[in-house]
Amino acid sequence: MTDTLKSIYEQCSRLKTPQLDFIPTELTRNKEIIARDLRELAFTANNDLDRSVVLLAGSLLESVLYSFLKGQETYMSAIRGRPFVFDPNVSLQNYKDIFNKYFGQTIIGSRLPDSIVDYRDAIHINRELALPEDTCSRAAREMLRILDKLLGDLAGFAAPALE
Amino acid sequence: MRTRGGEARLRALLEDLIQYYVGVYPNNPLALVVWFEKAPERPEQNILALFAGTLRNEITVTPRQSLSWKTGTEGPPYLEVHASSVGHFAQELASQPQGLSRYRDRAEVLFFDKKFLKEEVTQFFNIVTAPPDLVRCWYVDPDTYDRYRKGDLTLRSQSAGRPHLGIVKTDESPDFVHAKGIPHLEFSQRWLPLSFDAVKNYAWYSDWLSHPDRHSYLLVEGGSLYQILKFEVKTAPEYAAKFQLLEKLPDDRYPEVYLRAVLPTENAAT
Repeated sequence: MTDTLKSIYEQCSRLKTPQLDFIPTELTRNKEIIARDLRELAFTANNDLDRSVVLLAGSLLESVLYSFLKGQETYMSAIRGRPFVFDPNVSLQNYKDIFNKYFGQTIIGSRLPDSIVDYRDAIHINRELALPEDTCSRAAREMLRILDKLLGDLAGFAAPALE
Repeated sequence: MRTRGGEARLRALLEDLIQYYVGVYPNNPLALVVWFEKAPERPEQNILALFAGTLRNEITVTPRQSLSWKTGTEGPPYLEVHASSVGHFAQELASQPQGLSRYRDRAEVLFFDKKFLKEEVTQFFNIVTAPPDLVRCWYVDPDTYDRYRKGDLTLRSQSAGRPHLGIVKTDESPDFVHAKGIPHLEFSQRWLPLSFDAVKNYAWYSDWLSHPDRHSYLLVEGGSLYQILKFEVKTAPEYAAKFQLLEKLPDDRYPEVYLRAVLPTENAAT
């Protein structure tokens, strides 16, 4: 088909040399897990493994959002006017919606599309069967790019000062 | 609670309650929450909560409760919850809409999940999730199109699942063959225009960029097929108002996709 996963990965500079400083220092294990998964993502992308890329990229989107939002509780609490208590037992959809709500406009162009949840849910065979045959291939390509952009957006983010 | 900060705090308390309601009935997910007769300065607030399915066939009004329930504190602000099912509310809308008018009085929609709502309910509360002229599309990449031409698959099979993008047409030739439009995507249930930076993430753009010699297509709801000719960026401060976009791009620079209508091939069923 079109671009290979390997060629897309080659263009994803933030995936290749990730800057994870947006993860709070106390979340060392989160950073280790994300770094490990990024290494495995490199292997799967370089071997053009669509399904594995979808699984890992979906998992990484969740890990990255979870770790980022966890570090932004103070900022989100200030916006809300009362404590933001981050519930870790929620889904990628919830992480995405929280991120879009609090950071979608602050970090211009960073909003995450609803389709990433559909792609992630295609890990269930009944979901994938209900979608067109090329979904896994397209999902792998788009999720690589979306994850790469997200890492870039977060690396450059500094919470604005609040009055 | 007269300040904007007070309203923000009230909203946060309501959001916490909504978060609880989202999972309270696993078989009847929360579909809609409306803050009605909104008066943040008053000690008592009202919400309407509608759940999916046929959980209730009436509008139940719960006894007044403190919004500080999470901390176990009894005190203002207080909340009265009017709860029902989407199905019942839609029936009431059809039979006696005047009885529901108070739910639209100074109302603000705090939460909705459009897959559980009925159209009459979204219209009643003026929940707008897309520009009026948005057309939903599915991307057909060059390989898939080749398979379609050979009769290996139908175009209809490509429109399963969520549309890959939406288009708001900004121009169309008199013979309807050529058109251009602003690509949109669904973000938290709302169709919003994409910036040029964001367009680059998606296959329907990156395939065209990488292989301009190979034709790719958009299948539009209703069955029309368009070939993607090119993308260009236009500075157009008027677009947001003219096409009733749900959001204005900060720099007014809108990517536009140029399209050409094509007829379905003869040797493949659509």
